[in-house]
Amino acid sequence: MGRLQPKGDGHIELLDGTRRVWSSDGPPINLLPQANWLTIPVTIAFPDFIKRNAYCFAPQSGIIANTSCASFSTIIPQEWGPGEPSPRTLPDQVLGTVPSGVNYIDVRLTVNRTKAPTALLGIDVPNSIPTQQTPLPGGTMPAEITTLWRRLFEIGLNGTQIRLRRWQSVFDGPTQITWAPGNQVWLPNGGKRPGWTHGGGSDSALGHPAHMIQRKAGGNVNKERGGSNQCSLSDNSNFASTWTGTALIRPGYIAS
Amino acid sequence: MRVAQGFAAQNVVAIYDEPNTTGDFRSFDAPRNAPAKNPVAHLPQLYWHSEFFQYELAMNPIVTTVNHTALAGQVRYDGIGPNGPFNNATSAPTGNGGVTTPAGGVIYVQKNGQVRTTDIVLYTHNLGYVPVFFIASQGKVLLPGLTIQTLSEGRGRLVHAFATSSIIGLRETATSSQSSLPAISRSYELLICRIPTAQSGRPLMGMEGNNLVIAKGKVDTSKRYIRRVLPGESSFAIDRGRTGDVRGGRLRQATGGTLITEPGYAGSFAAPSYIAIGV
Repeated sequence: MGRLQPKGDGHIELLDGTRRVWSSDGPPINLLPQANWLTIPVTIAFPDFIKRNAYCFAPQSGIIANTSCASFSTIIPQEWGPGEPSPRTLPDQVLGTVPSGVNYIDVRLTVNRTKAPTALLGIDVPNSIPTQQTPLPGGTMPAEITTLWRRLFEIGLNGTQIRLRRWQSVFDGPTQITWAPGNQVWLPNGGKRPGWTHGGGSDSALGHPAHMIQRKAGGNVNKERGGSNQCSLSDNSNFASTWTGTALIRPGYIAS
Repeated sequence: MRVAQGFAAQNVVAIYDEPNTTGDFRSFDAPRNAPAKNPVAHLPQLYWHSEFFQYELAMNPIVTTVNHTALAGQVRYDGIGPNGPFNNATSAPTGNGGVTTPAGGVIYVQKNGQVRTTDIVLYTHNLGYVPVFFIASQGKVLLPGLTIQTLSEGRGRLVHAFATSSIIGLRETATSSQSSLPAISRSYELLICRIPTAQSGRPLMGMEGNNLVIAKGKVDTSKRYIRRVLPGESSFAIDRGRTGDVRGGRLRQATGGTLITEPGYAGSFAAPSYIAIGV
């Protein structure tokens, strides 16, 4: 038998026989009236990373024309987020507001990845976010996972604001490349040094190969870095990612 | 004073703490009944209101176990040599080439591991609409993208839940390295809900057989609602703050006060507070 009654300790309970349906000391999660629900267009954008380059020159012994070169865009370890300094700041975005006193939001996200990053060393970067409606309990969602980086966002409350926050982070372990001594293209005797060199910034030795720009073999000479036939160092990668869609947000209240 | 009040003329029922004792308790317009009259402006005083919505279970909780399959380790090589370019070579190119001491005109980079995304059907509900739902696993609400397996070299497995008008599913993202990602088995408890609406012909507050019905069916004692639990009741945790962080290219998540940290995570993220809920 259903009934609504005082518990005797100042609280009120709703019962189904002896089963507690809910009570004032164990209240339900309340969602506000439908007029307070929000369907918000969202764009969750992660920028391209700070990149450097790596270059490899490899002669074939005794055959001067049969040299090879390969050039790569590299990604250095880096942290991006709302609290990181420029240019790695990812500013908070206000998606909407809720009434004062709201302490819970139910977020259901429906998004598509509308900009995928360049394939990482030829491997397509998987889209971890379902294209179907997905809930965000807690509000924080990993968006992209690769061997090199993680991307994460949050849709949460900040006072009465619904706030989108983003973070992205690149692996800070050792690169797989062993660089030429002193990062020198030339041997002490003036010959061309086989091996890997890095460039594009003072921190380029930390770079992880992420995208092959160009590779060449045979047929001509002077393929060393800076040579007349060098492989291109013009970065043609773009590791930015963007998801667009809508967020259905139902503001609510959980009594303490 | 904590009261349960009904106002038939206004079709309102509410349970709340009166903010004051001013006015006639039977008057909808009395200041003491302001939480009933204007609930959104009085959230801290309210426990329940007929204009609000709750998570009502659309069916009994469902427990399902998923065998998450292994993902083989993999090493591939991209590069160039005297015989031309090569991609995804399965063995290290010959000619003393390589990453560290390129010679013989051979240059390559090594690509470790593979990534796989798989959509897994957890339950076919066939409700005809996209339900709201929660998934609990190991006593905690399943975070979006929760890491359910993490190993060295960046190997791991995370899952995102989703719903359609016919199924509840998981998108799994699995990552191996030179080494394989082993299979694991994990159980999930599904709480599939509907958001009840008022139905004409049902009582504002009255009995239907043995069931007490309030707010024209928004509350029915024959149903179950997601609510805070009392000590001794079974529960799962729902978090009240940011639940993830990335640092050093690796991820840390927190749910129910427990940290799940990938090897190599370089931050100091702490778990947020949480509350225990159940049905």
